Amino acid sequence: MNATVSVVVLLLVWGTFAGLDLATLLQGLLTRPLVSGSVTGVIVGDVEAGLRIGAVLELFALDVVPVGGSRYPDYGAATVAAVLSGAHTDWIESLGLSVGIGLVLARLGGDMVVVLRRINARTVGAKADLLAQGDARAVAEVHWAGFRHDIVRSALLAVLAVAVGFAVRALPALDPGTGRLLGVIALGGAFWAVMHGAVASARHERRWRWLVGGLAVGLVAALV
Amino acid sequence: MRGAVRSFFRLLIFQASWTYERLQGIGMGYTSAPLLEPLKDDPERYRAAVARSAEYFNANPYLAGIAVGAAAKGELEGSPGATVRRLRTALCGPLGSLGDQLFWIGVVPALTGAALALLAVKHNAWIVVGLVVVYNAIRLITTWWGLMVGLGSGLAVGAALAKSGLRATATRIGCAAGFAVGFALPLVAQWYAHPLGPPVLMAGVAGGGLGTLAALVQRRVFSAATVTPVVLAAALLLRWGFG
Repeated sequence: MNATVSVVVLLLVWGTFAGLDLATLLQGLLTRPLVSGSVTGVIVGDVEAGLRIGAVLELFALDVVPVGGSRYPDYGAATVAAVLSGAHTDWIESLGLSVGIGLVLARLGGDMVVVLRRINARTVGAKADLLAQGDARAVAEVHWAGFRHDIVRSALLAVLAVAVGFAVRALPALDPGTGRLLGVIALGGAFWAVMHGAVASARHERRWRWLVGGLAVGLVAALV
Repeated sequence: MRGAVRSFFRLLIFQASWTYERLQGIGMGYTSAPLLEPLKDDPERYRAAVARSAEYFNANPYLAGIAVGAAAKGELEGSPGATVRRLRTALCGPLGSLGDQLFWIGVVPALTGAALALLAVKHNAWIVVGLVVVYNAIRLITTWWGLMVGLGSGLAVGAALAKSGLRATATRIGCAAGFAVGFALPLVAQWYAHPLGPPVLMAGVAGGGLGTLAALVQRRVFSAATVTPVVLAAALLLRWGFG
């Protein structure tokens, strides 16, 4: 893969945009690993790597319910790093390492969201008097300051993701046995995550039945 | 109503200024501002309404428009400030819980589960494009609908919500989500098992079993997303150590 300037710029722009989609802008699934991975795959010219790595990380993401003040991972730029590190390699041997990188960066992205919210709180504190007086301009200024803060957070994470992705590419490839072992471990973790999410969400009996029914029908479809 | 379109677009950046103190309060204030503009003729009333609109608020962002619209209509109709405050507070719980059921554990897993199942069979990136288009259509329609319900019902928004059928829809979508995710898993396992062989199936069954057990006993000391990188690193070190 050629690390042309246009590829790097596109990866940085996409990583930043996917980070903003986590909570600040739209929340339109762009930050989901399946979507972020596919777009990254298109950018680096290896769509299959994007789909394969994105799909495994998506199984992890299905265990996350991003509510209120809970701490949740940011898979947007993390998936960019994961796909970049595994693109144009034999995916069977690079899958595990790529998924591991994605998981670590997603957690870091989530930690950065906590910092972002504290910085936003400081901005609110600085304008507290104006907000209490009902100054509509102050409300808008604080809101857009939060938007700018998240652009910075997402851009920093995207820079880190692209740097990590290229750094891993520069390392010697894993031997096939180790690569396959890591791939199997990553898939085991992904199934753990998705089943935990699916069972934890099935709080009433009807949903349970539909989950078990889906598993049964899927099993038959896979065997046929 | 004047300002509804601007308010709708502001709902798309509703959570930009999220903090642990006011949560989505500032976003609520920024989104409500265009709807409160008719009050500008009475500066004191306008300022009081703006100040209230930016106070503590938290709900699912996709359904927040219901509260934005309802509170704004209450302000425009001259309801007492304490009443509008109580309305906002009362809406936080239901809109949060309902929205999370509808989207985070409903529409999102239903559509991504379906997309994963299709991908496992067809391996085509256009499936992902379809996922994004369908999801965002649902997201935008829900946002606009919510704003209109709020603006239309004002302080009577509770009754409007009860009549809306959202809870029944959330239950139905939850069932669809359960089915879609369940259906996708064997197909995804097969997709990866084809080149990686039986160990993938064993890892899938073992991992799936662990996840099920952890959810059933409702204890999660560590999540899969935390444990997996540690196990990966340990395996890597062991292989290098014995390699």
